[in-house]
Amino acid sequence: MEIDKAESGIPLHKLEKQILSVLREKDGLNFAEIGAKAQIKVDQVRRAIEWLKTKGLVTEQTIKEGIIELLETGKGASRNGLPERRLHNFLRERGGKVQLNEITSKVLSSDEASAALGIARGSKWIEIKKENGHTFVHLRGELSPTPEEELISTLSSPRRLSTLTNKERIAYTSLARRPGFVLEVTSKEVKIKLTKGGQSILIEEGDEINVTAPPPMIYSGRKHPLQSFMDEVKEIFVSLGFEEIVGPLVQSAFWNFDALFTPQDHPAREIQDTFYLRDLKVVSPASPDLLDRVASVHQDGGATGSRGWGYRWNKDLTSRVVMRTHTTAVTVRYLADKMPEEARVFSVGRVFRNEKVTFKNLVEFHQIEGITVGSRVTLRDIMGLLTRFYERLGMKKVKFWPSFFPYTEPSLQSMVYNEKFSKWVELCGMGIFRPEVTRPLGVKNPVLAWGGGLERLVMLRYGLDDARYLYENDLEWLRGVPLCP
Amino acid sequence: MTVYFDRLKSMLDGEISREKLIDTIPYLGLDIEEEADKYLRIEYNPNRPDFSTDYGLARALNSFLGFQKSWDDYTVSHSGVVVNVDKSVAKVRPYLVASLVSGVDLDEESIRQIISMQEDIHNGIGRRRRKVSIGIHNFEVLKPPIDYLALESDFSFTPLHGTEEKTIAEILARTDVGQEYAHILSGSKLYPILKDAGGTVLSFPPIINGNATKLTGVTRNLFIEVTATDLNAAKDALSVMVTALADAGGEISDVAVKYRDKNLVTPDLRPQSFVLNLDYANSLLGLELDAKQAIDCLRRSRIPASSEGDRRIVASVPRYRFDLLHEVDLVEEIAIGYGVNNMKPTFPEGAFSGARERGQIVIGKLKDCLSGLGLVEVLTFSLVSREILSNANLDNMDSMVRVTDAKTAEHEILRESLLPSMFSVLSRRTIAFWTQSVLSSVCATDSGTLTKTRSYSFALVLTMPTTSTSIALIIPVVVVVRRVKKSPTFAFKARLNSLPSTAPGV
Repeated sequence: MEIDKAESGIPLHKLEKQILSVLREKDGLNFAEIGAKAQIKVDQVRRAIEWLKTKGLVTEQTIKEGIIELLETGKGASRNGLPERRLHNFLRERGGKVQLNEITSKVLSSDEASAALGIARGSKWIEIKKENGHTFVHLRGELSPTPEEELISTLSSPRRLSTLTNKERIAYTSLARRPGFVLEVTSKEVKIKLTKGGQSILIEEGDEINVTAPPPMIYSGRKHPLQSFMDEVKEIFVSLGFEEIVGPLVQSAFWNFDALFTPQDHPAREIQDTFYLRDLKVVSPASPDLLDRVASVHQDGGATGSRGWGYRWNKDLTSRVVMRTHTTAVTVRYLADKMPEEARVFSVGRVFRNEKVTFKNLVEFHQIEGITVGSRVTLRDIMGLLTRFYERLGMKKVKFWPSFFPYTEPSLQSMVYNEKFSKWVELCGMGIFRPEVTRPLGVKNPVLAWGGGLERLVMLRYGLDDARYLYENDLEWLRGVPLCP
Repeated sequence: MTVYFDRLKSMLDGEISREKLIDTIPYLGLDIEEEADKYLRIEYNPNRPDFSTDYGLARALNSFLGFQKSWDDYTVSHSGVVVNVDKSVAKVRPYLVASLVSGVDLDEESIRQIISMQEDIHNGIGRRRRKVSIGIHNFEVLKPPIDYLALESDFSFTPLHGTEEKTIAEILARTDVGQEYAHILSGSKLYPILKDAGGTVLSFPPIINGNATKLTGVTRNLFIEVTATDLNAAKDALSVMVTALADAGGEISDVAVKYRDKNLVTPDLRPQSFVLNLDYANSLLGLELDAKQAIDCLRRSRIPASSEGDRRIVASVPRYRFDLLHEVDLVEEIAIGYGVNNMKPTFPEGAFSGARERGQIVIGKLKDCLSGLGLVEVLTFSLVSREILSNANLDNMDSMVRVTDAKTAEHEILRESLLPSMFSVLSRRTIAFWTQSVLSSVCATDSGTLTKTRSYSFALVLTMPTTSTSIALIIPVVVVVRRVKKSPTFAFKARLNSLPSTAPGV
């Protein structure tokens, strides 16, 4: 759907619409007046006016204005009459003739009196005469209501200067000459006026949202996709009845290799392939009994019925320390510790290979591994377990074929069909631990084992073709990658 | 291994389509790495050097596909050739075994196959020639008996493809192959040499052959010698080599190898006898084969066998199958012969209750909290470079644990803190960090130590428009961390840092 911007105009908030309507009835109101008419709070008015201003729909006009108000004397005059009125009234009460000092002592202060007498004499409604050494004031005419009096009666609350009539203006000028009567203050007032746009903009009924406006992007915190995939894998393991085990990244060569029947001159053990830790040795990688059993299984098969590798096994090489090259080091230690007759355990963790880093090889990567121990477990069982495992990861087509691993026999390799890329991909390897591995540990029942790289599965899931990207920490990708691709 | 279709088909005793061939090969335990018009590139597992030539593949296919139901054992005739092993070699390369193969007619591709097998043996069971090396010579120019002895480094001869004599010292110091393998002989004052009665040098193992005995296009009779530091490995290598040459049309004859304390006659290609309990095989495979079926499966794996009663099978394992150590290896051969693709997956019986490890559960909860605070998790390596550490101004680098001979300087030191890696993420992602108002990272890893203490670390780096906002975010993080810290089963180390985004370059 296309929306023409010009036609739809600028989106307006509800408050904005209310204010525009009020101003169209009467332009040039101040905040309080708008608030009163639209029945919204003044601070809301202020806010909405800011929006309207940025949209160019209203302008603000600041108006400076004089305000007049009564001071104390003025207020008194407003209550009791101006001094000249009081003088006039006093004279009439006394029959039109009063001694001057009586006025200042009974009616007016001396300041008031001199002012009032000045005015009265100027308007010729009194006469002042000296008789017998005394000064007398005689009333000679009527004082009709004055403009000053009229003005003062309207000033019970302050008035804007601009509201005075011409007559009142003259009266104000006269009053202002008298000290303490009135005060003029200047006030600033902000008035809101509609612009041309404000007068013409279409105010539509109801609340509207501009659906075409880009919303601000809000990113959620996220686990790394590899970690979140790992969680999924762990959940699948648990759902298949597997218990999680963990173990150190750093292992003795004994647990990483010897216990797994890897001969001591095996290429995988060379420093070209395995990270040995400099200047570190384990005092005793295992109990003397176990070391003896492993020694003889390497040399001549010991009590396992195997021929062994037929070489002289060197105990010193077992105490070297390596970064584990597979999680199987953890698994085999578990087997040695628990000697289980029945078990299902799994382990997911980092492993290390001294390799050149390429798009498919990392020096450090994650491995998943599961083992099943039982008196009646079979090679077909491991195929079934792995099929179920892949199925739960959404991979339905699985193939198996024979393979080789130094510590399992028989050994198989698995391939799954990737729908996204329409190709078969090699994944986990599996097998049954050789008797040369399990018997010296005291494990009598067969142990099914399978394992593989986690990164490869993650890459399939997220459609990556370079394993290094998982460790690039491209924040755009980390925050934007779909949760369930 | 590269295998040409035409050549392979000519070696098979039956007809098979290209497609069927490609489908079948993986079920022998081989990986097809490349499929081209005329050839396949195949990877074999290191325990099966007999698969290093197309002869070995054809041999396996002929029985696997049922083209050959029975076959003759390899026979070894008597040549009368003698090799005398002098006691002087005892300290440098003590063992030698040898054989004669006569009547071979090798075309170019056959020679290529044999040479690639030789290389594979050198690198595999030969452990890059240290343990085993093989020399193949033109027997027609040799005058037996042959002597295997150790000589000083000023001894000279004309090495393979050379035009003039060189001393042993020169070969080790100045030729490519000498420099590559000299380390194998380092520490020895004497060097192993094979020469015949006429003084012709056959080889200077494990470095290089002599030029005089090199093969030519018309060579029909070959003298094969294997020198080694391990007698069994030498015999293994010889058995693989001569059986391939026998498949190429040669006749194998033995050689008497006379040591000071013993006499050997090599090669000895007599099969090895293994006894297999049928019930053991069935229980591991989840099959219910009877003896006849199991024997049939073994025959497909080219291992002749017979039954002894109902439940016992005696297998006669060919000498070149020295990868078989235990009866369990025969179980695998049965599985291969049965066809792994014919095995139906089953789900193991029994009820098990799965569970997550306690520490991992706690970490998961912590991660949920941190995500809830808007933090983005990043993933960094445990092995880090010096550069990352020095950029973080860490001065205790020398006391940190380092690995030996890392192939890349990027991964050299086992980190003790997560922060340097986090700074490195920050520095590489400056723009992304600056364009967003709130951006943060959390990383979790586990690092184990040998004292069996195990620690989980979390590091947070927060970049915020102002320091006060970052402090505002850190407060709930600290609260979260504190709560987790209370977990009794969990050693926890938390390090927090905030960087106001006004800091340049961060």
